[in-house]
Amino acid sequence: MATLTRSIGFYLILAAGAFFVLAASAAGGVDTASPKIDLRVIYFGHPQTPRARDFVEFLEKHFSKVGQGDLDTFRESDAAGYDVTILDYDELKVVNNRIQMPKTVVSKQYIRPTVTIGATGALVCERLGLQTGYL
Amino acid sequence: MGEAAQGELPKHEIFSKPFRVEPVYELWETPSNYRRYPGGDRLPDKLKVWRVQQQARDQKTRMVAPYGAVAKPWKPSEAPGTEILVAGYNLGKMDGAVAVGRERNFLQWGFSAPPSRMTEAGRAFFLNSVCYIAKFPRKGSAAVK
Repeated sequence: MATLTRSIGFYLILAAGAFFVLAASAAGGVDTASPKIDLRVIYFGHPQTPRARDFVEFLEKHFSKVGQGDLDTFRESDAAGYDVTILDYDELKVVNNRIQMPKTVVSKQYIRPTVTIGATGALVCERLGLQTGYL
Repeated sequence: MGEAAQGELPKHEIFSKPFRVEPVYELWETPSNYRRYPGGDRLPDKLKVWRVQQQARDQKTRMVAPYGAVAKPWKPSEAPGTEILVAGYNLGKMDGAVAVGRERNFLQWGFSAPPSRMTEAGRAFFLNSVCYIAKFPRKGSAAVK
């Protein structure tokens, strides 16, 4: 009888756990309680700005390893040891009708999976002749 | 570039792995700039969009600072190694301009907000984008375009 009670208890706990997992999945969105994603991500932006902190803190909640750097001094070799590189900056200034942005050099030989963000990202893509370049 | 993606989600793993992207659809006015492009006169008065971010809007320029960007739409079938993932609701270019797209090992995220200003669906989409592009390392320098 005791064994039967323990078994029922065990299955009840299992069912409740499954319910919560399914409920969380059905709700969609980002589950901050889920285990970190096993990817090493490095963010290059405008250091010490609220924007850079915002990105890095968010990435740290979700990825197993997060690095950061300055887009202004980005070198392709800085991305070594990471699975994904993110290239971003803060607000770009327009001077004499030209957009001012860090002189980010990315060669056509660059092999790292990379997310480029916003106008800065579009300009990087444009320099590389990618379809995703600035319209 | 505005604050929303345009149209319903296509079937693609980037909208479900590892997080399910659940857009909240709204109907927004069709931007007048869309009418200037071929086919623009045939667009409906309102378009289905979903917010990716929520930034303060500059009423003077009708742009969202720091600025995002869209790319000119292309035909992925004619450009190997590319994908159009979502179009962006924009106030300067054409209907269908690309907000998030991929070519080779680059995924361009055209939206401008940091994560704290993204919607829940936007955050899930952004994280999925980081995970998705990780699958596309290029192999050596022979891959020069």
